[in-house]
Amino acid sequence: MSNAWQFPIAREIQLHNRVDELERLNEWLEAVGEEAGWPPRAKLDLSLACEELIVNIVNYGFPAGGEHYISVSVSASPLAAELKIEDAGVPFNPLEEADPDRSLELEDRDIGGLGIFFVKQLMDDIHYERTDERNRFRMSKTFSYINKKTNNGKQEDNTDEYRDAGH
Amino acid sequence: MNIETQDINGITVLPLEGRLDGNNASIAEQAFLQQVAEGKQQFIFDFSGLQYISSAGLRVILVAAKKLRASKGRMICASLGEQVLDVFEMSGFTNILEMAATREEALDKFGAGV
Repeated sequence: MSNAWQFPIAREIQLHNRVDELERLNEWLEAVGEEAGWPPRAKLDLSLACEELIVNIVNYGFPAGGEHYISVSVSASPLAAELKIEDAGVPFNPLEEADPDRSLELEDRDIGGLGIFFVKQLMDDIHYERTDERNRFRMSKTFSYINKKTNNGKQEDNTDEYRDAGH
Repeated sequence: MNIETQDINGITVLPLEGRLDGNNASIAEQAFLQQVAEGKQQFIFDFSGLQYISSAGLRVILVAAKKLRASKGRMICASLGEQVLDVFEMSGFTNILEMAATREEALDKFGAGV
């Protein structure tokens, strides 16, 4: 089954299970976004969703240590992206994590659970499955950014804002 | 990320630039802790040059805010860009941290306006 018509661009990258690989991930996403014609803000949002999932895998996926790969693939059009992240670490479904309590006072707040909460907020559709001893995470987003008007009333390209206030 | 803090009328301004993510958040944390070790207690985190923050970056902000709260210090988060402000809002951080639209507004809040 081909998605070539909806998603003319398909790319993949293999990352090591180290946080310094976020730099390579980011350069790769920049390049894909450039090629696909994503709005600048889309690159940041997808970067955030990927970072949060990948940092989770790096931190918890391989308790025995050692060097492992995390595979990230993307299908892209100017208006949408579908991302897949896969690893062979311990079974872990990030969607089962409880959302953080955002009503707590400063003293009682912590960062636990926020990353996955961001992913849920930013992406339209997210899905996890464990098959062939791999964690497979799939997520998609259709971009609904609008151009913000500049002070002189002209539309400024590349300045984006959410259309909905759903987050 | 290379962080050069600045002292303005006794307030320590800590500028953040580029990306504050899982790869470099510890650099910002060290820069902050270094200043605290030197006895600084009043901070402006200046986000004007920051394009991107993740939960790892937010952790540093939270650690700093908690530390200063405990020692009766104070910090203001100033000049947040679009993505950074959205992440602060999603997290509920705009409700628990002191915010300012610009560095100047933050200095005014400290009574240290120039």
